[in-house]
Amino acid sequence: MPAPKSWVIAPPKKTLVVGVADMTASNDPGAELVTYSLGSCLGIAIYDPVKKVGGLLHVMLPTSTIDPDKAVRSPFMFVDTGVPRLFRAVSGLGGDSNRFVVKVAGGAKMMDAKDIFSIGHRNDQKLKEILDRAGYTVHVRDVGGLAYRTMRMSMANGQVTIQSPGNPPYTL
Amino acid sequence: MTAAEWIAKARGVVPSSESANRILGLLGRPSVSNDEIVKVIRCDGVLTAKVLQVCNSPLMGLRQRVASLDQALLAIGHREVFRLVMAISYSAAMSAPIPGFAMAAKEFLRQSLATAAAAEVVMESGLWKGEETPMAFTAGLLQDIGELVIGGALTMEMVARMRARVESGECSRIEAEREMLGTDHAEVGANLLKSWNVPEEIVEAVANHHQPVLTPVTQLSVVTHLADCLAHLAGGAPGWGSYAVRVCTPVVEAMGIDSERLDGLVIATRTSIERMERFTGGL
Ligand SMILES: [Fe+2]
Repeated sequence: MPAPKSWVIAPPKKTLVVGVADMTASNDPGAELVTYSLGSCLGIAIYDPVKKVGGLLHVMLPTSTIDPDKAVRSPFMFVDTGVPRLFRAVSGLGGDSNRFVVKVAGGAKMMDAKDIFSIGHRNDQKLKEILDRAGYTVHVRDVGGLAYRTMRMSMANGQVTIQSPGNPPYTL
Repeated sequence: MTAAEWIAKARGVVPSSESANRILGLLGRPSVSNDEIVKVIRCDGVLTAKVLQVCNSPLMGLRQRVASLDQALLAIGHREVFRLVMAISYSAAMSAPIPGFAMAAKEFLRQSLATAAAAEVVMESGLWKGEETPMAFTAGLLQDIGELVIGGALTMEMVARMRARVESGECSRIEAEREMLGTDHAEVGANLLKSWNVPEEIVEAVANHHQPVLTPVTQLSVVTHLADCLAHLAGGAPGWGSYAVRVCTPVVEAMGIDSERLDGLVIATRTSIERMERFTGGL
């Protein structure tokens, strides 16, 4: 007789934290990628459901031309230098770019009449431009608003959960 | 609740540190030497011990053990010791969770330190000519201290109503506080600091950090306002509705901040925050 499911104790999850201006790719199905403090920053998760490989990127600003030196030292700070590296890293782990599922969260917006401080919106625009050019579409997104978000991706199935303060987590 | 009642409550929430108060008092004087500040720290054995403990934490990355205040000053410099002393003085109170704003333990401390780091960036950016950097650092560190007081006193029902107002997009979080309570975290914080005899410049910078004063004379609140915005953009801000912050357009125009300039400031702020996290990680 097979043991009831409740008897099976899941192995402890390995949590890989992705900092601000940082990226992690993984092929460990037991791992979970997490990034905290997504405000106007964007979290971009990609996942190949067949190979079970994926990556999570936390970018802060749209374009690296503002500070080319910084972009060399910290390419994951910017959408334009971070996104191509994320795709390459996950492909490098055996992911097939034709199967990538792309999920995006963050881009909160401050109340600015002149829209200069809407970095979240500019990040989102830049991401769209880059993905369009490469022929990718965003599968699902939770972008904008006034909330600060935590974004997690399970490497077992690519499920992404979002949590903002005072709210229960939900599946994106 | 009247302002006086809030302040009475605040004293329980945020105990004032004798040495920190004395240092803040010194900052208000026209010229204060490093030696005077060091003298205050030296007289406080507990504070000195804490400075040494943080200096010797592995996060600080010093090669040699620091065994005395003089060695600490040599190893990291006066400015860094000053930052540490201020962070240490408020870290216990600021580490508490703030249920009313859905902030977990330490989140408020981290945000306050990030804002202090951002205030230094504004000072060094050339946008501002005025008070000394330690004054701006301290104002940035303390500007939201009223949230600690208010956030602990909000009922669930008040929070629900404030959230509904903020999430409708109609008002900022501080405007919702004022609607609900008749006061807000800037006013409560400023009154608390006034009761500690903190220099007027810092009280002003806290009181007006959401509506900075440009005329007739530009005040330090311009720096705290920009620091608040930069800290949001360079590393997030905890709590519900934390992006419901109104950016002051006249300040943006007066300082000539366009999106390119802003992005540069956000990069500098990120660097400053990371440095601060390294230095205060042992707290
Ligand atoms: Fe504030």
